[in-house]
Amino acid sequence: MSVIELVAPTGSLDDAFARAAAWLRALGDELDGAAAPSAALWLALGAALCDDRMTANAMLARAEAGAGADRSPGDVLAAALAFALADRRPSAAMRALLLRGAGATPARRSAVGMLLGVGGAAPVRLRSAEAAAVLLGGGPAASVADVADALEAFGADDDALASAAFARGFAELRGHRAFTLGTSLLRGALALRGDAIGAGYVTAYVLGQQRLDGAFGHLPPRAPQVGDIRLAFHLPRTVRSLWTLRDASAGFAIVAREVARAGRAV
Amino acid sequence: MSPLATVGAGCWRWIAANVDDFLVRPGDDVPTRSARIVAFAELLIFTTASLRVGGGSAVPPAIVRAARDWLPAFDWESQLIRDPGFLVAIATVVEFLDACGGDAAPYRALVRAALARGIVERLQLRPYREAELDRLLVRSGFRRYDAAAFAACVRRAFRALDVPLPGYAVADLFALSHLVCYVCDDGERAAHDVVGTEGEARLRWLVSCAGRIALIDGDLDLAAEFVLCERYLGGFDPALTREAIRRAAAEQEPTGAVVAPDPGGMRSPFVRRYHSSLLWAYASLLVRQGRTPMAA
Repeated sequence: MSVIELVAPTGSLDDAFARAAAWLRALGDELDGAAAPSAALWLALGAALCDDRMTANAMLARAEAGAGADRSPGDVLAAALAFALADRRPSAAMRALLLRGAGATPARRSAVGMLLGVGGAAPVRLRSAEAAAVLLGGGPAASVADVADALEAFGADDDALASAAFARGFAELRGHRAFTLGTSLLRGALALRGDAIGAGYVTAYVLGQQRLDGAFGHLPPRAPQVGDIRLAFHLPRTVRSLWTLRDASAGFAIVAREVARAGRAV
Repeated sequence: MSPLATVGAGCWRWIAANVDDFLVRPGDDVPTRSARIVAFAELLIFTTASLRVGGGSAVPPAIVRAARDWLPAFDWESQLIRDPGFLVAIATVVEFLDACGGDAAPYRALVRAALARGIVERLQLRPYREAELDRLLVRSGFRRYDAAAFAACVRRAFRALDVPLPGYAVADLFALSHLVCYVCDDGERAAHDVVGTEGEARLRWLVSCAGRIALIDGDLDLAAEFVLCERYLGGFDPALTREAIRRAAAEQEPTGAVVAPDPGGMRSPFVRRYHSSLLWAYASLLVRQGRTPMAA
């Protein structure tokens, strides 16, 4: 046994996924038909990550039924990934909705475009040295997000970025608002380097976020918690957590795998 | 002059110019753990380490002379009576005098007497402080190195750090870097001798990540700590060291000081500068030689 222990996870991965899946199912059962499609899309991705393709498809159908032009799809990369993992082609209305909302970063637009089979979408290639400097330099948030998206979806031509991405990812996670960016960077780092130690620390961190009811995410004591925050807060955190755990246990980024698969299929 | 040499020379210049600020002034009220006593102990620690790595010419003589000449003016024994934890400071003095060729006998006598009274057992130190004291006592010949006991102590210390990195406070990051120094005995011992090969791999991972977090935070004080760790662990991550040096050179003040952050805005100009300048002065020696002390 090593003198330096890995942070002890509170339970096994299988147990974490089983508890999260039960929480997601219960939330799906309660979901109001008038709820925004983003909730159904998150539930679909969560189910797909838990290998529950039937629920994933049911939720995607539900999201498509509510996909009016005035509705928000939420995180479009997550939504596009849900369709890819469920092997389901989105309806025209859903595709339009997702493409309209995909504009956060060039890498994200390309990744979503490739996942949705849009002609002309191409991989974004990072220049490693510049990308590492962005991650270590405290550059503008948009630049860091762009690097994170590109790493996660398209990787890079060497693994020099991995250390910077791990560091920036963990640094971001010190603030509770940066969970999305932090976990995206960690998934990008894991995509770059088969790093058992890094994957172990990421797994331990994410497992530590799971609550007794199976959902993930905690709020600082003074954060406002008015009403039911499951859809607005716990649902996206839970699915992003499962997504990160999947990447950590697989040793690759599932977004990159699906983007590559979609690219080959074009 | 290379950026590294410039950083080192500038830091030694600042330390020499401000050496009086490390010393307790006549008439000062001196709590045993006052900021000035801590600063003086740090001066001794880095001067000692620099003399060991670089030899007698590594440190400007004025600095060594000032520190050595000031020692007899201070009542070390009274401090030890007031606070048994002061044993660490006196053991640091012994190490310094041994390194610079001074007469450590009076201070050795104080340490021996304290040990005979069983002070160590009563201190109730945190595990990483326990590792620090053990290493000091072994280095100066007060205690024989007990590999199993030291490894057990290190294991206890790391248990306290078994939280994911986002949960680390700045104090935890310093505890991590200090532990690496103790495990590696400032580069004179391979880490795997204490923590095993898997443990060494984990240490390297943590140093690589924590060092970059220091850079992300713009904390050149902490970054220097991890530059030392990187060298002690065998120079496995030169990119971290290169980037830290580049930033230290870019941000070094015209006086030569490298400045630490001050999140609370309460630190004096001296306190913001002395620790990071000592660290960079020593780190410049260590890195410039292109080797760890273990390989010397």
